Amino acid sequence: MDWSTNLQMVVAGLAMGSIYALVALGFVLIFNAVNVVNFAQGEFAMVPAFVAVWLMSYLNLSFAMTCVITVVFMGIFGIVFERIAYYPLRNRSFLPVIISTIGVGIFLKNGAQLIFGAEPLSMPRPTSPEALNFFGVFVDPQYIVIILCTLALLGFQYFFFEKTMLGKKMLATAQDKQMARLLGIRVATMIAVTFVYSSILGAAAGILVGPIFFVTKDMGAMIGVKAFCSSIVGGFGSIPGAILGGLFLGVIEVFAAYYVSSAYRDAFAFIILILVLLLRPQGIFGEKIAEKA
Amino acid sequence: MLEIKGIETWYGAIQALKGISLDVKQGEIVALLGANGAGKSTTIMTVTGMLKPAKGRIEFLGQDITGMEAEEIAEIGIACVPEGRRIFPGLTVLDNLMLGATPRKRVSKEEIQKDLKRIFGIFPQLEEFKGRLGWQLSGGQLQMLAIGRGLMANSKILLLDEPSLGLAPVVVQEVFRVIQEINKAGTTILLVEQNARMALLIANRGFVLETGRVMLADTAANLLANEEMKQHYLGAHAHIKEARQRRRDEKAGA
Ligand SMILES: Nc1ncnc2c1ncn2[C@@H]1O[C@H](COP(=O)(O)OP(=O)(O)O)[C@@H](O)[C@H]1O
Ligand SMILES: [Mg+2]
Repeated sequence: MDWSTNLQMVVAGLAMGSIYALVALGFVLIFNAVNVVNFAQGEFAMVPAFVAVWLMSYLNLSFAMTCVITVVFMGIFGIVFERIAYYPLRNRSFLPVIISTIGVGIFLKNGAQLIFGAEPLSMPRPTSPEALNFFGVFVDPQYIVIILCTLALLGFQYFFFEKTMLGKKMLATAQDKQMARLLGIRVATMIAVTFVYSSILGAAAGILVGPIFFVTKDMGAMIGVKAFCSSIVGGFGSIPGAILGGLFLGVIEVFAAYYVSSAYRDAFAFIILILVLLLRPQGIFGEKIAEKA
Repeated sequence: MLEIKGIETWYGAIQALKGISLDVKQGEIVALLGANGAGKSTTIMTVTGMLKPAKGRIEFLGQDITGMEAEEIAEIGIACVPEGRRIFPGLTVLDNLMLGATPRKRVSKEEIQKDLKRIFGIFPQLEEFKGRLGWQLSGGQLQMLAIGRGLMANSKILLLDEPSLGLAPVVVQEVFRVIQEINKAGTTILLVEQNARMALLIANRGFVLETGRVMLADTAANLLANEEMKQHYLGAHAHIKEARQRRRDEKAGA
């Protein structure tokens, strides 16, 4: 076995896994807050990728400026999405809400095609296309950027939920909405903030993955499905589970593509998903049910 | 301080309250008694704004609060320790307590710390376990935390829904002692209880509900001496019989 190839693959897997983890977190945070799987979660990464391409290629804005505008745009997108797809149906059962997220997802995909055409676009790279040489291990610098940005975002998130009252109020809302209201917590606001944050996670995923992928209307579906698998593999509803599940799936995928079959690369996520559901339905990293209740 | 005038509350097509009127004066402990299903919890939840009455009026400090949102009602000084304690299971004891202070606007950190100290003084166990998560606590600890969290609101009135439910007799004694202490410190209390005798021993007045109506309303002393009360609610083992009946009901319902 060639250790430098394997290390290269670990880095590539962690980079792709970071993207899955960011989108999986969005799934989990929204699910915990409103008990509904948001089937448009992948589109939360597709939309910002298009926005970023447009800002950079057509308006010739700098990468930094593009990031700022895209994040702000996605923050607003999160509120609008919540108002359209969730808020009017908040007192109904989960089914209408799920259908409405699917509907908005389809609308976004077709909207992207209508505005940007069906041709895949490529996002200008903020990093050099030359691989970096770390003692014989060649790594795409974009992978390093993805991993570091994800780590920074997770660090911020940890601080937010552990140390700020707003974070605690969001957790309380996710755990018991009625009690939260009795304590005077503005539950509707907490839910809106959750959508905004999930949408910003999508912005990060879309901007980070754009340069190593083609930006297409279907990229959201692909990332969304893998991220959904990640959150189940990690233990659905669990925040650490979503992160570890995403990283795990990203690495497994790269290794399986190399050692088993590259043609079936996209199938391994489902194979793992089925194995986990059969052998360990609470997820590989799943906690006791009581812990996340 | 709190005046409830003829409220009627429905769950869909089921009418749970059929015109309840009661009042609580500043500084009092008022007991709200009655069998399982009489409408005690529904009354409490209607006052907090979680349920909306179809008819009737609720006034707090002279202000009409009927139909106000629960979040606003919490902010004007009505705190509630609901049935079943409702501690956030994934948050620590300390976080649960701190969230209790949410309704207080423009309050200094020092003041919050002072109240936290006071609550740790009342319930030393909470300080000992302040880093534990809600789901790791025992029944007695959960109840102490629920009351502690209610106190953090520093409300004008505290609504307590069956604080003694499911607790060992020693812990029940302790909880009742604390309720008296809180009241002496200036908080008005509306206390829902199955354990009528103990509640009336610390209360000024009591209201007895039966199927959504007020059947009796009197001073605690008179209620303790009342023949009808003695027969139905105060018999030596009345609340034990009640608990057995409740378990039977639950089995039949399940
Ligand atoms: N969520 C609910 N849906 C329908 N009926 C309810 C609900 N909660 C309570 N009830 C009914 O309302 C009546 C009063 O209940 P409740 O206020 O909980 O009584 P108590 O607290 O005195 O035991 C009961 O008949 C009960 O069955
Ligand atoms: Mg009750």
